Amino acid sequence: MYYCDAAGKGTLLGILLRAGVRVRRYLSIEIDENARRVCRINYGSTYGGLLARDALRFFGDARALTIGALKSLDCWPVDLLMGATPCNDLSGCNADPDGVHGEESSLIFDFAALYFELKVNNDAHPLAMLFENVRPPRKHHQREMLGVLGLPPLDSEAAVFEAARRRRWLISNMRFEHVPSDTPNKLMQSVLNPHAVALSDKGCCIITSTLSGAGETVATAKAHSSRNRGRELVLCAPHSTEVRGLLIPEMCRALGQPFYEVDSASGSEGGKANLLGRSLAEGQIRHALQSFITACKQ
Amino acid sequence: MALRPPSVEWEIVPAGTACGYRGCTLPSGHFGSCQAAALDGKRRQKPTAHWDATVERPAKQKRKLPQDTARRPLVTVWYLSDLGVPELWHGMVLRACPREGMLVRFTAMAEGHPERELWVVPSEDEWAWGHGSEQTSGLARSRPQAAREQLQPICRAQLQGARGWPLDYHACVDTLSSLRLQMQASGWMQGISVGISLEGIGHAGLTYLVDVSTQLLKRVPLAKWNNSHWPSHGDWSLRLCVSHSPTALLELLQLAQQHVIKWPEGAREVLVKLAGTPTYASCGAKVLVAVGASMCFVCGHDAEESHPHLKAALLCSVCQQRFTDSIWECDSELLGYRCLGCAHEGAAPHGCRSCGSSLCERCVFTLHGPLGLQDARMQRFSMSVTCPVCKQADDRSAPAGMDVRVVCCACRQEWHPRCHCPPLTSLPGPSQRWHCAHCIISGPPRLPSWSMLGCALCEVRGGVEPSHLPLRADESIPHSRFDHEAACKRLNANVDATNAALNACSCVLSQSDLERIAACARERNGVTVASYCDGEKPTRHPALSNAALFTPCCSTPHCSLLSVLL
Repeated sequence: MYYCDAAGKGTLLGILLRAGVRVRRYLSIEIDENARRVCRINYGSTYGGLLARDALRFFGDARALTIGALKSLDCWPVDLLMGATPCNDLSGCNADPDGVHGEESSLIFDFAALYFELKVNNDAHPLAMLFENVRPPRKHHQREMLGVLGLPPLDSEAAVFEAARRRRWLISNMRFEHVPSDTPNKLMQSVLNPHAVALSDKGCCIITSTLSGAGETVATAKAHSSRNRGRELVLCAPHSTEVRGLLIPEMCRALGQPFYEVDSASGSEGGKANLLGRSLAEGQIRHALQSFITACKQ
Repeated sequence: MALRPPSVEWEIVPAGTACGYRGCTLPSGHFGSCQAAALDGKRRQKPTAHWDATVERPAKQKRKLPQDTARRPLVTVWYLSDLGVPELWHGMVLRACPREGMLVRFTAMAEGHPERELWVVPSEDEWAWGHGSEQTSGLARSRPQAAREQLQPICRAQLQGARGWPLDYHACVDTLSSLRLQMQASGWMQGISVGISLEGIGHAGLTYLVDVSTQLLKRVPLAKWNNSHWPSHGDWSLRLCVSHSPTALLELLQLAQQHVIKWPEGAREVLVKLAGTPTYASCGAKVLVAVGASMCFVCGHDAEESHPHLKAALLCSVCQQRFTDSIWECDSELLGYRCLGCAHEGAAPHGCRSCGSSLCERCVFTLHGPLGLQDARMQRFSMSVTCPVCKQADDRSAPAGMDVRVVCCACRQEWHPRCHCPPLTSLPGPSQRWHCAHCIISGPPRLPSWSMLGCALCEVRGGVEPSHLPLRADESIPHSRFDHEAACKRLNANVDATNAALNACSCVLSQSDLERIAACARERNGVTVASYCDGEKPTRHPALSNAALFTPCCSTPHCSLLSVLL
């Protein structure tokens, strides 16, 4: 599984809370138990009163989510619906992508179904929607992806907000706002540890890891390795994250991939969670949600 | 030193004396491959000179094409059309010979061009090997492994084990010979004398070839330059006979290097495939491109401005404006959205290891020729690790102990010890950090590497003698720095365009809707958020989509697609 940038680990919740939006209920529809654990660890407190007590709700199977389930979880009516379905079959990193009809990325249809159902059946309450995914490199995949939600995309570049390049499509039923003129230009060098030297201003490809230890990071690194052999990949992982018994640095050496350590956390759960919750799409999503944040800011 | 013209002028062959063998347009009596079969065993012997006794030449092996037509190699032949645009034809090799060329059955590509069989002579035609005829671009194309395995040994059969400088020298002399033949064969050369003029076209033109020849000639030991050792027959020896000594030949080449053959007025691009050069990377000049004196590099119209990146090229005002107005960005793979050669967007799949610039396939082909494009494609799309010089995994004719690949710690390329220039006499130790000569001379790659060891923009060529690699410390790196201001500007333009499209959509939230959400959130002490992120599960909705169970949610053009009826 490739990492999902925004949703399951509670990054969206972090964006809203850091922007000063009071959150009554946050439903994380995420199958990965470890991602849910990260979300719970990160946002278990009330966050200065912005996050209601027992605001977190979790739902495991996205396909089984219905309006009845939303009501039973006290997530009704929904104000903001955020989707970040897997990009495995859409990304250019995949040598043979199947598009939105691929086995991994077809979850976008479930998301679209939920969105269209909520749009007409949300107790006459307006629903804000944001969908985030990579920009498919192939034209027919782009057409397929646009056809699912029927809204024009914003072609956004993560390097405007972050120290890494990643072109994403943001599809929303809210109007986008301009990038603030004082947006800082974060450089790769500034996020590395003091001993690492960045070869370019922006990282070219950043791999995050999950905590599950089920081999996801290995799979991701191999996929990149076969195509980008010799290229410098930046691995955002704490020092002691294990993947099948190999620490991240060991795994990178085994795969022949140079890497930067951006954090040498001691290996505690909190350290890992802090790092993994730092999503790479945060700047882009915050920008896309700016009108929602402005309206709902306390 | 006073410059003097060369003592040998280019020979102008009058019309009607063409060779004519199998449609050959070269002058009769030329030392060309088309006559090889006609000589029927009385083939002229190419001069053989073995200066380096340590270089062994393996016995020639006969290679046959597979009988099964399904396993026949597929070939893509590139050529320049009358409009000066590179075009391609796909076909299947019916017969192949390292000297004679290939008999290719070309498939019908368009109306008016029926399927036909033609001889393709690699030494005289522009050509490129293709991996498959169905898909010529994209990452997911199929590559018939059998075709590759059959094809590559054929086109490299005469090069096996030939890694010493003598053969490189042969290549350079053949280069000059081939160039002369091409010039003679060109129709527009009739009656026009070609002389040396004082206008330079830089490394992208003819002088680069002469430059490489000069550098290689420097390595010929003076003791070996006795004229009696050089056979006087054969086209290639003509110039040597005239020059008599390496000093005179060197002077001649330097003269040509500093000055340029002036092409006649109205000349279109001339693409010369040089015969017998070992590989693109090891020689550095396989194909030379002489651009017409006043033609745009991109479109061929009258040029007015100089190209911002290519020294020898010119641009018309329209193309120059496109360069000026373009926003130069690269994607997450660090490949430029735009080609630095033609500034067209969306087709720059090849990047340079040295300077980080990206070139589209058309410009790679124009600048480096079909072999350069072939090498760039192999480098980019090949999943197996190969030597950057010979493009093969194993060095089968290497002596014992040297049949390994040495990994450069800086660029991660894996070199055969004998292919590396200079060749390695001993291997680095197991834990020793080793850098290839390319990285020693020009520094480690400044950006993650892709297809090419050196592009025409940075002028760093792999395989050229390291001491002659240009050092351009002050050279600007097109993609190393992120232009934050331009990226913000581009994103804001995207925001404007997306908002304009959203305005035409009826399902977009208005400001009053957002205020209703905010008011409701205040009542309930916070917003309700559903964050949807799940994966790894096939769903039933693609089937629903295919069964047309999704219908448009509203009638506006931007929202004309799908909503679900549940």
